[in-house]
Amino acid sequence: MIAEEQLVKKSLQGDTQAFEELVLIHQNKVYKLAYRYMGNEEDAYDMTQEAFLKAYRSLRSFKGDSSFGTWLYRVTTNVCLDELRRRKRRIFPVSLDEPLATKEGDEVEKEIADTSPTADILYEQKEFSQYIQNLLNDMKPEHKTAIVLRDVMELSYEEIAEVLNCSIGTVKSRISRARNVLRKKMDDRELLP
Amino acid sequence: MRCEQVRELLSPYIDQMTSEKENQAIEAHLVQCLECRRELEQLKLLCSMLNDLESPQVPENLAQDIHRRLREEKTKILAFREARRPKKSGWIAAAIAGLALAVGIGVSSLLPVGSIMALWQDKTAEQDAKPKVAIEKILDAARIAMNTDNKGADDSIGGNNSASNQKGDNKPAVTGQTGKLNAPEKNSSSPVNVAENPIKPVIVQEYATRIKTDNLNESVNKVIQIADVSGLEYNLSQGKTVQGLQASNTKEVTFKVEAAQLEGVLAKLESAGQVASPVENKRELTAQYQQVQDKINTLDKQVNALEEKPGRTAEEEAELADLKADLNNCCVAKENLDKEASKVTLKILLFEEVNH
Repeated sequence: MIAEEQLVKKSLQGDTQAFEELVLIHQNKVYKLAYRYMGNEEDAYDMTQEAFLKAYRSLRSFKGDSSFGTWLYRVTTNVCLDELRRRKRRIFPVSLDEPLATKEGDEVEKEIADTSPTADILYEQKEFSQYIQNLLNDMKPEHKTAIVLRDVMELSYEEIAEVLNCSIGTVKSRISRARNVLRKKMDDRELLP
Repeated sequence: MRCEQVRELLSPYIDQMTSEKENQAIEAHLVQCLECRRELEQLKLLCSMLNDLESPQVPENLAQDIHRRLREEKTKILAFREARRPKKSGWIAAAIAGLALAVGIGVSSLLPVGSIMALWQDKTAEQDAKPKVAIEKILDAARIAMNTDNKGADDSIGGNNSASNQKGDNKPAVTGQTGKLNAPEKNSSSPVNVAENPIKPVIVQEYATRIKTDNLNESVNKVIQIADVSGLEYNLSQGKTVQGLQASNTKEVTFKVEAAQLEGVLAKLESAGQVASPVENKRELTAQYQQVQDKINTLDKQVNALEEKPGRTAEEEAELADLKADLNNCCVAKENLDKEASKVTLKILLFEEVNH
C-alpha cells in the first residue's frame, strides 16, 4: 500500500504521529495474534504494547523486503515467545494445568481428572473457542506459531517463512505436525467425525 | 503411494502447496482409501474451526495506552541523554546534569530538541561568562567562543567528537550506557565495526547572522514574531560574550527553517534591525552518523545472537537487557541526527550597541 510506505518512511525519520497511524492500522491483527499466542486478554494486551514499542525502537531494522505487517507479526511473535520462555524458566510450584513433556516431546495434559469437555458441552462457541485455545496453549512454540499464523491469521507459506525466519520446507512440516497434534487430540475425544 | 506417504502430504495438500505430481498420486490413493479420506476431512474441519475462531474484542484503551507509552519512551530517552552529556567540569557539570534531567523529565515531547540544548547552553554560558573583570579574560572568552562558534557551538549530540573518532576512543557521546549518571564506563565487548555499510554524507547547513539594534528587547520580540508567523521552530537563549560584545547586550535566537524559506526569513528579519550577511557554516555529521549506525549494527547482531539462544543464564539476560537499552539509545540518537540534518539552522545574534 503506497500510503503505508509513506507512513513507514516518515516513521523512520522520527515522525511519531506517522508511526501511531501504523499502530492504528495494524493493532487489531497484532492483538489477535498475541491473544492466540498468550491465551488470555491481559497478556495479549501487554504483549501488543510491547510489540509496538519494540517495533518503534527497532524500526531501522525493517528493511522493506517484506510487508510492514509481516515484519510486525515477526516482532510480535518474538516478543510473545520471549515472554513465554521467560515464564517457563521461573520456578513455580507445579501447577495442575501445566503440561508434562512426554518422551516424544509432545506435551499432554496431566490426567488428574478428565475435566475436558465432551462433544455435547462444546455446542457453545465460547466453550469451544476456549477448548481450542487450551489446546494451543499446550503446544510447543514452533507448532503453535505455525498453526496460528496459517489457520488463524491466514498468512501464506511465504509470509510465514518471513515471520519465522525459516525455509518454506520448515513451514510446511511445522504446520503439518501442528495440525496433526490437534487432530489427534480432538479425535481421541471424539470431537471429529 | 502408501498411506504413510499420503498422510504426510495431506496438510500441504489442503493449502495447495503440493506439486502436480504429488496431487495426482494423492488423489489416486484417496479414491481407494477410506482411512486417508477420513483423515483429510478431519484436517479440513480442524482448519475451518481454527479459521472460524472469533476475533477477540480489542480493548478500547489499547491505542491510547500505546500512544502514552510511545510518548514516555521519547521523553525518557531525551532526559536520559541530556543527563549523560560529556561533562565539562566536576560539580558544576553534575549540577547541570541534574537540572537537565529534571527539565527533561518535566518536559513534554512536543518541545523541540533544540530548546533543551539551549537551556543547557544557557547554563554553561552563564558559568563561563561569570566575573571576568580583566580585559584579557574577556578577550580570552571571546576567542574561545569564536572557536566553538565556528565548530558549531550549538552543542550537538556529538560535542567534540571529531577528536575522539580518531583515537578509537570507542565512546561516541551518543552511546547510552545503562545505569546511573556516574556508572563506570562499560565498553561493549566487540569493537565497533568500522564502516561496514558506508552511508552518504550527512551535513547540517548552518547559517549565522547578526542583527544590530537600538532596542534589544524590541528586536528580539520582532524576531520571535517572525518565527511564529512563518511557523518556524525557534529558541531563545542568552547572548554570548563575543567579539567585544558583552553578553548582557546580546541575545541569540536560533531558527530551524526549510532551505527554501531561508531567503524569505532573512528578508523579514530586516524589520528587526540591521542584518549582517549570513555566514555559512556546514557541519558534517557523517562521521557521527556512521559511528552510530555501525554501533547499531553491532548491537543488533549481539542482541539477535542472544535472543536466538534457547537457554539464557541470568548474566546473559542482564547483558541482553543492557544491549537492548544501548541499542535503544543509539536509535534515538540516530533519529535526532536525522532531524538535525533535515533542516537548516539559522543562528541570529542580536546585539544592542552600548554607548558609554
